[in-house]
Amino acid sequence: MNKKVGPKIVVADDDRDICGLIKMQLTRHGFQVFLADNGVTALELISEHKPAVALLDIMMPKLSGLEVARKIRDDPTNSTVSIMLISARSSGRIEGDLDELDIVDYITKPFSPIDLVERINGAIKRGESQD
Amino acid sequence: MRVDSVANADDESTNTSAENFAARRGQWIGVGALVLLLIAFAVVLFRNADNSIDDLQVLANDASSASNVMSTQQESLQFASSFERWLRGSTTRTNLDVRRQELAGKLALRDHSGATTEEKLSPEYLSSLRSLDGYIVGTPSGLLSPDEQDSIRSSSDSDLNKFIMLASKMSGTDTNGGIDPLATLFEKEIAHQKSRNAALLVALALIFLVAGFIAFTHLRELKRIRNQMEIERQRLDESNVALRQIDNELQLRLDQERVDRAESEWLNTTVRSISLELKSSIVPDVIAESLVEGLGKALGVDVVLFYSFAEHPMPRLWKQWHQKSEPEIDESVVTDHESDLLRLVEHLWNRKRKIIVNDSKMVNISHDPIPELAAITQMGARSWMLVPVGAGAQVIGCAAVGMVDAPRVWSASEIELIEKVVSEVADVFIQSRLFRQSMQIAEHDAEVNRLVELDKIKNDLIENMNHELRTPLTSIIGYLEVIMEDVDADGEPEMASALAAVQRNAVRLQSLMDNMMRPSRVNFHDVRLNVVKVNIGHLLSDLADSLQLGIDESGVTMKLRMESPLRDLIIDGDVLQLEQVFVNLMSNAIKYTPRGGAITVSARRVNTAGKFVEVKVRDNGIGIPPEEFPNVFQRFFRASTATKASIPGFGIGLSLVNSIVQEHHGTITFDSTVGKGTVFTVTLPIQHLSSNSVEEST
Repeated sequence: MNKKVGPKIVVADDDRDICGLIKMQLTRHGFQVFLADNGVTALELISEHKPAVALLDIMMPKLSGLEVARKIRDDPTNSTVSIMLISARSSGRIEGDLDELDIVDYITKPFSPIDLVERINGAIKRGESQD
Repeated sequence: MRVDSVANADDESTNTSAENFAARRGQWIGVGALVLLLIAFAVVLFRNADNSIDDLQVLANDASSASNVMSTQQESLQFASSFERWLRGSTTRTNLDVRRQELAGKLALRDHSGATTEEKLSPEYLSSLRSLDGYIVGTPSGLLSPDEQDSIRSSSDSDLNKFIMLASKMSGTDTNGGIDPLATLFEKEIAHQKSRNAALLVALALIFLVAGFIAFTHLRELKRIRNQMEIERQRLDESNVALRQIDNELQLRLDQERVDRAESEWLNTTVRSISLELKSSIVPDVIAESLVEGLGKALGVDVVLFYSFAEHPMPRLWKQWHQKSEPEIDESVVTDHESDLLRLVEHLWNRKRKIIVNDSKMVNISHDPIPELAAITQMGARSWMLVPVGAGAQVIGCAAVGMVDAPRVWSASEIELIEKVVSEVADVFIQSRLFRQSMQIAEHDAEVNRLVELDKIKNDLIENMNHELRTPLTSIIGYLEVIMEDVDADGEPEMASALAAVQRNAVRLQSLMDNMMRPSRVNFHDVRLNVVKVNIGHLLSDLADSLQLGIDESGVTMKLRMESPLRDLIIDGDVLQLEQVFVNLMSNAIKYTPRGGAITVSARRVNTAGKFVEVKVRDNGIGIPPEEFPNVFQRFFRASTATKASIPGFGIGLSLVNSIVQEHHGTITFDSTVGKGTVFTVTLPIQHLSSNSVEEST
């Protein structure tokens, strides 16, 4: 028997350390983590792996997190992907986008890794219950 | 027209007079001819009288050849002739008397000196007398008797009778006792002369009567004509006088018109000149200066004052101008009565009136109910004008011009000048103010735009900086948390303590960044309250616990005092934001209270004018100087007491607290005494105004 495989998470952030932190924490909690340092790669990974959650930094090169989210929503094959945004900025300015793109959570930097795991689990549960 | 008609009337009257005069001249010629005729008739009558006298003369000449007696007879005749002339009035009274004396003397000579009876009785004497007598009367008769002669000599006083008697005596005694022919002759002659003279008199009387009547009628006509002419002349004179008056009036009007035109030209030119000066600047001070100088020079007055109400908060003497180098007027003279002056000028302006005093000595100013009138006269002006300056309903000020020593009757042009000029200056002031206001608005707008731009740049900078700082902080805090999960606090207590210190400072750094970010987010309305039910009692208690480490390190004590039941301390609010409020206030209290100090945090329910929860954070720390109170809630404010004590801080906390409290529609106040401490009072409404459904907070 193969080891039980946890939910796939695509993490996109142009800061390598943050990517490392998130990957370390999520891996420790059994998630399959795919890292991208820009929006285009993130989109490719999402299309390829159809993760349960896409954790996207808003300010990224090539494609911003919001643009990636919009492309995910434009592709019906990605309908199962729950999108979480992560940013150093508050969510006030993009409130309309959050509703439109069905963003399930918005995490403000700096964040607690423990809190992050709880919120990803919460997002996955909400996604599963919707399904 | 009037002049022409008068002239025509004069012409008519002159024509009428000329016609009348021509008619009258014909009449006069007729009258003159009649009078000449009458005179000729009178001359003929006299000529006839002279003829009778000539007869006598002839008679006398015939007797000249006679004797001595005859010569006496001739003398008698000559006297008779003289008498005749006397009767006709051709001899003067004096001459008559002389002749009468001569006659009397000669007769007396003949009778009493030399002529003897014999001589008188001589045939020659008698014969000649008779001859004479007979010649005269035509019938020879006797001479006077001796008795008759005596009677004549002795009796008569009358000239006529005496003469008659003497003549009778000369003719000698008529022996036959008959009538005296000579006497008769004379009497007849006298009667004849009388009748003739009477006829002459009647004729003359008639002539004069007719002439008088004619003259009278003509005189009356003449008088009438003369009267008419007089009337005409009077009318002519009157017309002339009227014409002269009209001429004078016309001349006066022309002169007046010339003066008026000159004054009008002067007025327009002066107003234009002053107006140009006034409009040459938009600086109120320069405009006021131009006004007083322009008025002063144009009117030739001693002093010009300009009081301003609009350009300054209170009325005051703004500008003054003096003809001579006189001391300037003490401004306090009027400013003592500034409100009265303002009232007076508003009164004048609303009624479109002004004050004109030609001679203050003739006006009892001291009894005037408005004290500033007396005040203005204190400036030393004997004659002056006060004109309000305004535009529309707005009174800008007033202008006063005056003569110091002399009375002066202000002419209509001068009054009009000052009125026009102050009207002009009002417009200029309004335009100037509008222009300056528009400039200020433009400058203000530009400044606002610049500040908005700067604020945006600043906020962008802060946000970018915040983002840039948060990214590494995320790694620090995150990795730290992961590592701390793995560190055994019991096995490696020092390591655990060190990591805790790192984490504490990292969190503090994050808190600082949050505080720094918050105001810029507020500016962008970027803060949304997550309103829930918050128990302030629980919140304060939790915060006190979390701050216990700092309290312990600072060596102060903190007491929590709930003055109302906990159930009464629940309000609608954003729990995280409210945490920020009280964390800041309590942290400040700890930070600014010296070791050994005491901090009291109390909460209670207040039900005055609505339902509120009031929280007081009281310390006995360094305090804030009163002069710095207004700046306490400004960003980056640091109390001077704090900087002097070298207590670190950014000066953001209280600004943040204030903005959060306001977002909750609450209030924050404080009281502080340097060296004794500070108390902050936060009052929050129980129910948040914008909360519809509120979740319960744990």
